[in-house]
Amino acid sequence: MTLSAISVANLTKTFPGSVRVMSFRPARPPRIEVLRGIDLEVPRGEVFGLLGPNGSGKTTLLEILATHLLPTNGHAKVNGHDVVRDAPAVRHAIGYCPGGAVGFDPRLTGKRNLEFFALLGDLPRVQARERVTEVWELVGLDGFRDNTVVHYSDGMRQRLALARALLTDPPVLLLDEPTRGLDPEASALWRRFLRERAVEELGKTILLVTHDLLEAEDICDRAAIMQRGRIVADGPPSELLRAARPGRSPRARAAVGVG
Amino acid sequence: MNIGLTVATYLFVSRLVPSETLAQWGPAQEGYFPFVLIGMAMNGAMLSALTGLTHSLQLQKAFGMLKPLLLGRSQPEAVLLFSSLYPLARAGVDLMVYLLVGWVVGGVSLTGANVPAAVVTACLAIVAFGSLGIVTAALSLLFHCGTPLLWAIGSASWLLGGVLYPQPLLPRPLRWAAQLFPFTHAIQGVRAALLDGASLGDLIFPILVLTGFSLIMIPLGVLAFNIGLSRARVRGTLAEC
Repeated sequence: MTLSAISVANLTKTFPGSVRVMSFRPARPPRIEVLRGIDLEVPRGEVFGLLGPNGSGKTTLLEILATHLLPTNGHAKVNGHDVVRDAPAVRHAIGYCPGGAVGFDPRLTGKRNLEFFALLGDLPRVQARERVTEVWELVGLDGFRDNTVVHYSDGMRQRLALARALLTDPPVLLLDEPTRGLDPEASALWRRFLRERAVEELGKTILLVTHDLLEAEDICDRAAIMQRGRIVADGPPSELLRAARPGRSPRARAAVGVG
Repeated sequence: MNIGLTVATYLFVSRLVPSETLAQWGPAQEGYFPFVLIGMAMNGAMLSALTGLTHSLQLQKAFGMLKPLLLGRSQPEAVLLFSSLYPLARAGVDLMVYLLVGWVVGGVSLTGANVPAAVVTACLAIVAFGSLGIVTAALSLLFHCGTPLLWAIGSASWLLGGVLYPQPLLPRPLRWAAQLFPFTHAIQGVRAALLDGASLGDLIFPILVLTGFSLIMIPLGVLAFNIGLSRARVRGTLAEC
């Protein structure tokens, strides 16, 4: 049993340029280097934040850990399982909330969506229903059981996405901007829920992608700042925030990716 | 509704085609309407089986559901198999609805039909086109271009398959080309079983063609689908429509 819930070593990802089949002048398309040698260790029971501007590679890293993307080089392990060689075991170990909380059939109710994913997660039918009821109450969606997802607000979809991630009780949660589109009050409630329920009560490890350093300070034990596919700074969010404050030396601000 | 309107349209068209005209090109004791009804029914069922999985994949991509589906504990092959079942069942139901509407609207009687032979041939045809549907779905994952192939197959089945007219009507090169496509054998087989009471023994050639086609296309489709998934994971195109 490894100590780290997530372990990443020298991870790179390069996307091949798209080939234009119908082009009269076929040219070798440029390759896009999105991750350049990422090293990362997230101990069990920690909330780790990934920060950085758009295009810095945060979501790509999360997608590799979720086995949706294959890395070009390097290694990544989740709960001790290699994301390439042992992808099915990684899928058992994670709950993934994609950005924008997409991935539900809008024509079905939230409950029916969750039941579908519970069955897909190999839960027997009776157990699936019980588990859906449990996570439904856990994420605070009471009262919306019979509404179709098309009528859900952004906040409700986020809760539904987290409920789906928790269905099979995985030890690791990968959350891509879970408070995107939420108002400040809802965001605060959401962060408190993640910290108090998911981590302290249920003992989950969370890797959280966010743009917001203040949000990272509020919820994360540690955070890393990514820029152009590299981790340029990491440590407790309060330290990163201090270094990023206006008035600090340009060198200190540059070290955390601002200024 | 769509099936009902289509059948009604061809009922009126069939009044323009005297049985004697059809008889010049092959056996047609029952007239043009039963002939075209079975052609339409088989064509509709085969196209449902062919396009169902690709449409289902496109819908899942549009809803962003493909990634969560693949994160489940089931193997991608199992997801693929179960996603294929609905289009296949739908194809079978479409076929029966065509025949039922033909009976209600056009009074088509299939009293002399060899139902077991027709069912076996129709099921094999649906499975054969479902397996071809897996290949086109894999192409849509690989190149985002499964749909033009579906159009091409759909159009070829109209032209060559003998849906609306007997195949002897076609020029010789097209008749030869038609023999290369499984829908030709499927339509001829089911038509012979339902209209002429052909037995399983009589239909051994179309049955062998459809079985052989499925045996080749199913593993090929699963292989292509897995390659498509791997490439999408390399290129980051898993969620692209």
